[in-house]
Amino acid sequence: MKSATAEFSAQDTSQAHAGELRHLAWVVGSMAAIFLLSYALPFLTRFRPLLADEGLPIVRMFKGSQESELPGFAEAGLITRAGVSEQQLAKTLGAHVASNLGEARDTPPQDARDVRGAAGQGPDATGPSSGPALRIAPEEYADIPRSIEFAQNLRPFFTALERSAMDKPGAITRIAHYGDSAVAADAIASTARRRFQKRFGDAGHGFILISRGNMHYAHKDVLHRTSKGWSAESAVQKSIGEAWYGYGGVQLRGRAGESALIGTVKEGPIGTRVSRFELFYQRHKRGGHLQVKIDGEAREPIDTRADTREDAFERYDLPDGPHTLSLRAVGGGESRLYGVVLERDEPGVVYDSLGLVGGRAQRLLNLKAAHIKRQIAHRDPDLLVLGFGGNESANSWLNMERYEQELVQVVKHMRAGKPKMACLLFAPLDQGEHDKRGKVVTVETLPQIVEVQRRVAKRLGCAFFDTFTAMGGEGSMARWRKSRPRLATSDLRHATPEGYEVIGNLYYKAMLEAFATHLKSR
Amino acid sequence: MHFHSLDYLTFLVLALSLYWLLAAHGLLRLAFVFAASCAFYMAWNPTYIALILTSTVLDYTVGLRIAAAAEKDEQRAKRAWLLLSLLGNLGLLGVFKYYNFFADATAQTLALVGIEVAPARLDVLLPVGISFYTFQTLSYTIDIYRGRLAPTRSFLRFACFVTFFPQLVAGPIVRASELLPQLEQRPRLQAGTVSSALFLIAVGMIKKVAFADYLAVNLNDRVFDDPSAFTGAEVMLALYGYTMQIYCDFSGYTDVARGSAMLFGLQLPENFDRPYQATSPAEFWRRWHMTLSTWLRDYLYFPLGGSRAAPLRAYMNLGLTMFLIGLWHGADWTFVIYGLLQACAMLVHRYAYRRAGRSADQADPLWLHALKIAGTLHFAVLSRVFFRGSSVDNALEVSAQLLQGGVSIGHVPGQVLAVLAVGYLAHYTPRHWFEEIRRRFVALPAPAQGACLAVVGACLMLVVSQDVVPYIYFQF
Repeated sequence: MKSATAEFSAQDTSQAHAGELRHLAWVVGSMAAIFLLSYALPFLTRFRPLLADEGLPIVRMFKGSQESELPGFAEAGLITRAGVSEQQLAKTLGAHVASNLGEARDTPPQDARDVRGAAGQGPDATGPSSGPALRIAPEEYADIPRSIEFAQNLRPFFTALERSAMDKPGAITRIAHYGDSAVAADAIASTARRRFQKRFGDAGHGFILISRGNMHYAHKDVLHRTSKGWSAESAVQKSIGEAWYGYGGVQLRGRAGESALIGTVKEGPIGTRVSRFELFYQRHKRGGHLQVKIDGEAREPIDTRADTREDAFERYDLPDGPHTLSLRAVGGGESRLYGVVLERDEPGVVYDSLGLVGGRAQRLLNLKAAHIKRQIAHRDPDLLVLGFGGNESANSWLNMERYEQELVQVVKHMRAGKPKMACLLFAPLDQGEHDKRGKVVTVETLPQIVEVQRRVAKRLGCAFFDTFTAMGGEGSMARWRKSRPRLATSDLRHATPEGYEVIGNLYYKAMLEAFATHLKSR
Repeated sequence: MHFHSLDYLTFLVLALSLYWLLAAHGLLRLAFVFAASCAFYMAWNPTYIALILTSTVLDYTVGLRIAAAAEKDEQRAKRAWLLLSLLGNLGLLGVFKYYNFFADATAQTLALVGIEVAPARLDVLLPVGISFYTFQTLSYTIDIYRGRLAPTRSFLRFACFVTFFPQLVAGPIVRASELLPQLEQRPRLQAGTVSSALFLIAVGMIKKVAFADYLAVNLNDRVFDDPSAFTGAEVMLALYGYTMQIYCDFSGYTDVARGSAMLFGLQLPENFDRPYQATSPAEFWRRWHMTLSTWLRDYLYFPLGGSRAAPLRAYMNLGLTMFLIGLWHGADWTFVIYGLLQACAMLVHRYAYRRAGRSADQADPLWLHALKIAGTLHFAVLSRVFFRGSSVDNALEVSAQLLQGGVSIGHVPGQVLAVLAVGYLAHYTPRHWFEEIRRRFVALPAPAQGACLAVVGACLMLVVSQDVVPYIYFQF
C-alpha cells in the first residue's frame, strides 16, 4: 500500500513536471508568435525584437564590436571609481579623448616666461619680430583629432597673443567667447582660460555678469556672490524693448537692497590677483543709486540717472593683488547693470565667457546694433568666438539656407564694433536623441549645421573649430554618456564637467597648434 | 549580457531547452550549467573568468582539505587551509577592488605630513560580480571549517554553485548549504512553478526598465551630473528618485535571477522585503540586501561577539559591521562615508532603544509607526547622496544645492513625477494586493500568459530609456 502511494505520488510529480515544461513551451511559443506579428504588420514595426542589422542575439555579445556598442556597462562602467582605465577609455572613445581628460593628464603647461627665456634675443619692443620668438613644443598640442580650420584668419589674434607671451607692456589679449549653455556654465571657457593664462600669462578673469538671476550661470576662478532679487533680462528672451542688453547679452536690473560681491579667489591656479575693476552699466531716466566698495572701503556712489539712455563705464585701478568689489543698489530708482570686468596690468590673456542660456546665434541679433557695437568697441577683444548650434539643432524643420543667412548677419553684427578683430566659429557638441528603436543617434540637423558654420567661417574670413568631429562625430554623445567617467549628461545635449574639460583641452590645443604654425610660417 | 535584453531572453530559452533535455543525466546536466554560466560571464569579459575559476578551484580544494584535517582532528591544518582560502579570496578582492583606493588614500595621508609618494596604480577593470562570488565561496569554506557543512566531492557541482549564471554577477549571495543540495538532486518543476517564475521575471523587468532606468535617465543622472542647475526641491526629488531607482534596479535584478533559477528547478533566497517600510535602520538592513546583511551577521558580527559582548564591544561590533557593509559597495571615500553614516545610525538607534528600555519590535501607535517609517525612509534617502555621488565633492555639491533651497520643480517633467509617485505608492500597498495579481496571472492558461507577457514586453519597449542601462549592483 505504502509503495503504491509512493508510486502514485512519483507519477503525479512526474506529470506535474511534464505539464510545467509544456506550459513553459506554450508561453514562450505564444510570446514568440505575437512578436512575429510585428514583422508581418507594418504598424507594429516599433515592436520588432530584432532588426536585420543588429546581429544575432548572444553571438553579437562575443564580437569585438560589442565594446564600441556597449561600453557603458560591460567594462567602462565597471571601472572602480578610484581610477579610470585610460586604456579602456581610449578604446571606447578614442585616444584623443582619454588623453585630454583632466588637467592632470595634460602635458604640463609651460610657463610662457620659460619659453621666452629660450628666445633670449627675441623681437624688439615695438612689435612682433620676423623671427620665431616663441617655441611651441609639439607635445603641447599632442593628441588632437581636429585642427583649427582656416587658421590663417586668426592672424590678428595671434599677433596680440605673441605680444602678450613676450611680456610687452600692456599686451593684453582678449577673447570674447559667446555661446549657449556650455559657455554660460563657464565650462569650456574655464578650461581654455586656465590653459591660455598658464601658458601666456594671467591678465585677469575678464567679464562677468552682475548676477546669475534665475539662469544656470556660473564662473570659475572668481569670487561671485549676489543677492537673489536681481532680474535678468536676456537677449535670448528679447524681454526688453530697448534691446540694450550689454556686452554679455544679459542686463541685470535691481532695486534698493540688491547687492553683488565680485573679486579674486583666495587660492587657485588663476584668478587670485586683479588690478582693475570696470563696471559696465546703463544710465537712464529712472536710474538709481549704487553704493560701491572696494575691499570694504566705500567709494564715490554711482548715480545711474541720466536724461537720455546711455552706456556707461566706471573704472577702478588698484595695486595688483587680491581685491573685492562690492555693489549695492540703494534706491532712488532701478539700477541696470551689464557686468564687471576684472583685469590686470600684466601681459597675458583675458578670456570673457559670455554664455546665454538657451542661446542661439540668431538671438544675438536681438542686441541693438549701435549698442553692441559700442560695447564691443569699448571692450576691444582680439578674438570673437561664437559657439552656437546646439539649440538650433533641436529644430528638425530648421531651414539651412535661412540659418546660413542669419549666421552671416550675426557675425557681421558682432564684428561691427571692431571689424578687424579675428573671429572663430565654434561648432556645437554632438546632440543625441533616441531613434524609434530607443537607440541614441545624432540629431539629423546637426551635421548640416556644422557644414553651414564651416561655410560661413570660410566666407567671412573666420576660423572654424569642428567640435562635433573632435568629439568623435556621429553618435559620440551616446558613447560619451556611457563612458566612465560619464562625459555627457542624460539629456544627450550637454557634456558633464569632465566632458567639457575634454572639449576645452581639445580646443585649446588646436589653437596652440595653429599658433605654432603661425609662428613657423613667418 | 543584461537581463533586460533580447540576448538574455534568447540565452535563457536556449539554456533551459538543453538543460531539461539533459535533466536525467546528472553529470552532463551539471557540465552544461557550468559551461553556460562561464559563457554568460565571458560575454562581459573573457579574461576575468580566470579569477572565478581560481576561486572555484581554491575553495573546492580547501573544502576537501579542511574536512580531511577535521577527520584527523588536525586543528592547525584546518586553520591553515581556512587562512589560505581567506587570503586567496580576499586577496583577489583586495587587489582588484580596493588596491587603488587604499594606495591613493595612503599617499594622500602621507602628503598631509609632507611625504610625497606617487603610488603605483593598477590599470585594471573591476571584475563583474567579484564581491558576490567571493562572499559566496568564502561561506563554503567557513561553514566546512565550522563543521556545519560537508564538502562536496563533485567539482562540477561546486563549480555550478559558484558560477550559476542567474545570480553570478549581482547575487543574491547564496550559501552552499542552500544551493548545493538542490544541485545534487534531479531537478523537478512543481505545479505552478513556471507561472510564478515568469511572473517574477516580468515584475523584475518592469522594475528595472519602467522605474529604475526611467528615473535614472530622466531625473537622477541629470541632477547628479550638474546639481547647480536645479533647485533644492528638484534635488530632493532626485534623491527620492535615486532611492526608488536603486531599489527597483537591484530588487528587479533579484526578481529576474530568482525567476530564472526557478525555471531551472532551483530556489534562490529572497533579497528584499519592502525595505522602505522599515521603521528603524536595523529593520531596514533586515529588509534590504538581506543575503549580504545575514552573511556579515553570520560570518563577521557573531564571531566578533555580536550583541552579547560587553556593551562597548557590542557597539564596536555593530559599528564595524555596518561600516564594512558600506565599504563592500565600493572602494571610494563616498562609500566610506556611507558606511560610517549607516554605522552611526545603527549605533544611535540601538543606544536610544536600550536607554528607553524597550524592544525594537514593540508595537507602536499608528502615528508613531508612520513617523518611524518616514524617518527611516528619509535617512535612507539623504544618505544615498554619498552612495550615488560620483565623488565626495559631487555629493557635497548636491547637498549644498539641497540646502540652498528653492521650491520650483519646473525642470522635472510631469511623467517623471508620475512614475516616482507610482513607484512609492506601489511600495506601500498591502502585500496581498500584489499576491492577488500574481495569483490571477498564475491561474491564466499558457497562451494568455504569453499574451500578457508580450504586452508587458511591448510596453517596456516603448518606455525603454536607451540601448541598455547597466544594473547598479553589477559594479559592486
